[in-house]
Order: sequence, then structure tokens, then C-alpha cells
Amino acid sequence: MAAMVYGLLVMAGFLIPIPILVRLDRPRRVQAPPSAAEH
Amino acid sequence: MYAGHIAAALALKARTPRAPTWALFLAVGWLDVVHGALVIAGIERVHPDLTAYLGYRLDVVEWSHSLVAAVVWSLGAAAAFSRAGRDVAIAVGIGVFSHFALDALVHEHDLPLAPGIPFAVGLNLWGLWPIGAWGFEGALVAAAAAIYVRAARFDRTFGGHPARLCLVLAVIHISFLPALSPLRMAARFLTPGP
Repeated sequence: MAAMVYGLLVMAGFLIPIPILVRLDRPRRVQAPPSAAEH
Repeated sequence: MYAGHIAAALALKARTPRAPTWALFLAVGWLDVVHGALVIAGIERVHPDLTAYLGYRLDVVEWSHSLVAAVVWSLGAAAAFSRAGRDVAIAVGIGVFSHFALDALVHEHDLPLAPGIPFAVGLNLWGLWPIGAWGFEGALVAAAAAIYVRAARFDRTFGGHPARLCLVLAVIHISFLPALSPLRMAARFLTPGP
């Protein structure tokens, strides 16, 4: 039981943060300049 | 070591922005992901021991955390990314091997040279100076974060939210203070009383 909990924690410790860290690493969206029609 | 491994991925991303971020984060944790799976499968073995830094002693870790296994996993990871380009394959391979290299600094002598060879390595910073080891890891995290933030300032293809990412990394590192570590808590909870 203790070993199984250890195994799950060790795996989850690296797998769970990946989507969060990847999202924070994504480049910021650059807002498109207003089109000529809007001027 | 935990946040220190993740920080290695940030340094690699700064060096090789073309490498997929998910692949670098997975690479630096790969040996532990394999280790966790092998422990659950009963192939590698650990047991709770509150005198150990992690709260667990590593009895058999030769298929995930031996030097030879780390080299083999690293070469395999690099080969898996060979189509993405030489620089990406090398970055992913270094990411996997960085896990063993960083673990060797802090682990007690429980990282075998190869499966079946009892001789093990580890500079045992965890055993000699636990809070110093945590501080040392924090310094590694800070250095890697600085490299990442600096590179992201010049390369707009990654690092959209560097401050938030560094904050997450800091929270992860603080949550692994020896007194707060989830592994130690699990070991305390699951160790039979006297």
C-alpha cells in the first residue's frame, strides 16, 4: 500500500504540472493592428 | 529533487526554443515516471522510512535510476525525437539524463551503476545537510528561471507568462520543504505505529 501510494505520487508529481507549465510557456497573443477599414 | 528537475527543462527550453515544451518537461521527469510505474508493478521497490529525506528508502531502482539505465532511456528519448531535428533530439536526451545527474548530487548512495551491479553512487547532500540541499536546489531553480526569463525576453516564440511560471515553480519548491513534502506525509501516514 505504502509503495503504491509512493509510485502514484512520484508519477503524478511530474505528469500533473505539465499542462499547467506548458500553458504558461505559450507565447502571448499579439493583438492584430486595426484594419484600414476601421480608420 | 523535484523543482530542480523541472527547472532543468526551463534552461533547456531557453537553449533550444524549437523543442516542444511538453517533451522537455516530460523528459526531465521521465526516470521518475518510469520509477513510479515500476514500483506500482512491483519491479522496483521502496519502503517508508522517516529517517530518510524523502520519507522512503529506495531499495531497488536499477531499471529507472541506474547510470546505465539513465543513459539507455536518454538515448531512447533522443531517438524518439530524431525526426524533429538534431538539436531537439539532443535537448530531450539531455533532459532525461539531467534527472540522473541532479539526483546523483543529493541522493544517498542508492543510485546503482547498472542493473545487477550493487555498487551505487550519490553524493548524499540530502543526508549530510537536508535544509542546505533544499536551498541548493532553490539556487538551481533560480538560476534556470533567470536563464529562461532572459531568453524569453528576446525570443517571443515561448515564455508568454514567465512571472506566473516562476511563481508556480517557487510554490512547487516550497511545497517540497522537508517538513511539507507530500512523500514524507504519505510515509508518516502509512508507516505502522510502534
